[in-house]
Amino acid sequence: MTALVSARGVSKHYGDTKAVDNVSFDIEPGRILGLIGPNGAGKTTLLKAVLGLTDCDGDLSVCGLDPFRKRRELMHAVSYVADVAVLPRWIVVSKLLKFVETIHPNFSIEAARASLAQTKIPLNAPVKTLSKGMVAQLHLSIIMAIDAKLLVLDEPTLGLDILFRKSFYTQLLNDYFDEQKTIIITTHQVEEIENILTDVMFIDDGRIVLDESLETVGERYTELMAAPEQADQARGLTPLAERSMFGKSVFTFEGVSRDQLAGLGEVRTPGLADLFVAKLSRERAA
Amino acid sequence: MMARQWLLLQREIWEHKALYYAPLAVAGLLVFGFVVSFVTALAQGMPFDVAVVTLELTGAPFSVTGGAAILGIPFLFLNLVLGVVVFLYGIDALYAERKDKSILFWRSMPVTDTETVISKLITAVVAAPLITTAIVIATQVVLLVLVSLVLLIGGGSPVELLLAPLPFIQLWFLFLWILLTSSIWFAPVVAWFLLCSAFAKRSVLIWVFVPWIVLGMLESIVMRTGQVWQLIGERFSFAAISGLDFPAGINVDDDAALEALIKSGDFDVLGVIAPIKFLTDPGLWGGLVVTAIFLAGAVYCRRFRS
Repeated sequence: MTALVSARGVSKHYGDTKAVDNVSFDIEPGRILGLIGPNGAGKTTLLKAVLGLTDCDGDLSVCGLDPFRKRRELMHAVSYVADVAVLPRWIVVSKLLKFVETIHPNFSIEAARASLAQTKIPLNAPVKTLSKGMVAQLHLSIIMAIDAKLLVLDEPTLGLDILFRKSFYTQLLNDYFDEQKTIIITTHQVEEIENILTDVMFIDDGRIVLDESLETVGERYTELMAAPEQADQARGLTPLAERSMFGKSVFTFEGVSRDQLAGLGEVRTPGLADLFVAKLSRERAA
Repeated sequence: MMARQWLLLQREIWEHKALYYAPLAVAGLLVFGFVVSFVTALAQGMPFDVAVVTLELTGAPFSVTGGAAILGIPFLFLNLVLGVVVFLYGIDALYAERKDKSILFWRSMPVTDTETVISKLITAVVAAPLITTAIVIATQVVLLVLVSLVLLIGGGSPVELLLAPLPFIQLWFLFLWILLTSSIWFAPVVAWFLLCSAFAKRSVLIWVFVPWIVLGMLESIVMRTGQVWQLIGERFSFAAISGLDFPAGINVDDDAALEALIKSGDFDVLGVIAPIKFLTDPGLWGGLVVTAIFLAGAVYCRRFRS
């Protein structure tokens, strides 16, 4: 199967700063990829390159197109929320829907209206009279009414309350996502998206630190919670990271079989947040 | 394709309501001012026929310039408003969307930066003048009706005194022609506003004026010439007459002579429209080349600097 997004040696410099440093990856159709990294890691720059909002060095292809040179064509197949609440404040909701309907061949105004009907957003209201949460709802209703091959969500729920975030991700998974679609999400609230992802990519300092499907993450990485008396034995197996919790030591291992660890304590698959911290501290130490 | 450009134009007008609010408000003020001044004249005890005379509409001989004022005043005032509105629109058009970050949304739509920038130029040089012309004509009609009523009440015949002597259909064509030619003549100026609004990180106004002031000063210091300022001065002073050609011997500044000419019936209003003079003016084509350069710069800024 051909990759929907294909990057080979992609870099982006701002002056002397390398925001994205020679990264290569493929994203297959039908995946939900979580792009995770600390602030300033290059996530947004990488996404901007994928969306054709900035030029870059190297080979980058999205839906078979050069994103920067063919941005208009690309936007037929790709939709994104670059930042919540960036809708123009002066526009009236119904005119906004009319605009997108005329300009976007893959937009279903019925779907958007149906989704808005479940909210308290009046169609005749100017955007500036809506609360921040409502603007985000409106934006997401529009974006999810676009039948796109690739949906990019850059911090889609930043600053929104937990009820909204939960229902948004549920809706995203149940109503929007199917095998034909691909979603890339970045967020700092890793725990909230962990269970909907199929793939995860860690990025730090412009470089990819980890790029795996969640299945292989489960196979390759193991977390061990060991009692103090077994801790030294665990340390002998060269864990990626160690932290302590409730007086016990928690280790993250890469490529160590579960059988080997089973005798030393409680074994499980690490959470993405913990794995991220473990991977990053190891990378930075190196 | 047309539906897209039409929608982009509508979008501009949705956003910049001043494009029609401002001329409408001024038109309303003009009509209101006319009514108030007339009623005040009567209230101050001025006899009705004298009040009518103060409008320069009756009496013998009838003053054509007085009648033409009904057409001329809205045209003049609303064109000044148009200038201000287009200026404010131009410096805001590509700046506000970056300031409120809505550019992130607009650029998530399948619209190229070139399409967007062109729609903004068309809004300023075609849509805004057409809106203004429509409002000018509506205001003139309202004033003509009001003055006709006044004349009727005063016992005069509006047709004889007002409508027949004034070639106003021809004048409307003339107004439209002046507006459109001036707009195209001013296109490089609008394109410069757009470039500044796409380029400026903060104060657009500084970028609009300072480069030309500095350039002019440098020129006068280094080369002891004043080409830059002269060029700008010419651009502004030739705007209204670049598409007009007055017959030899006519002084457009001499009201009395002009009035006599119109009254003589020998003056062909539409005859001053000079498309060939307009289209063969190197200033027009030079201006359009500059327009294209500035627009390309604005597109570049929107593509690379957001």
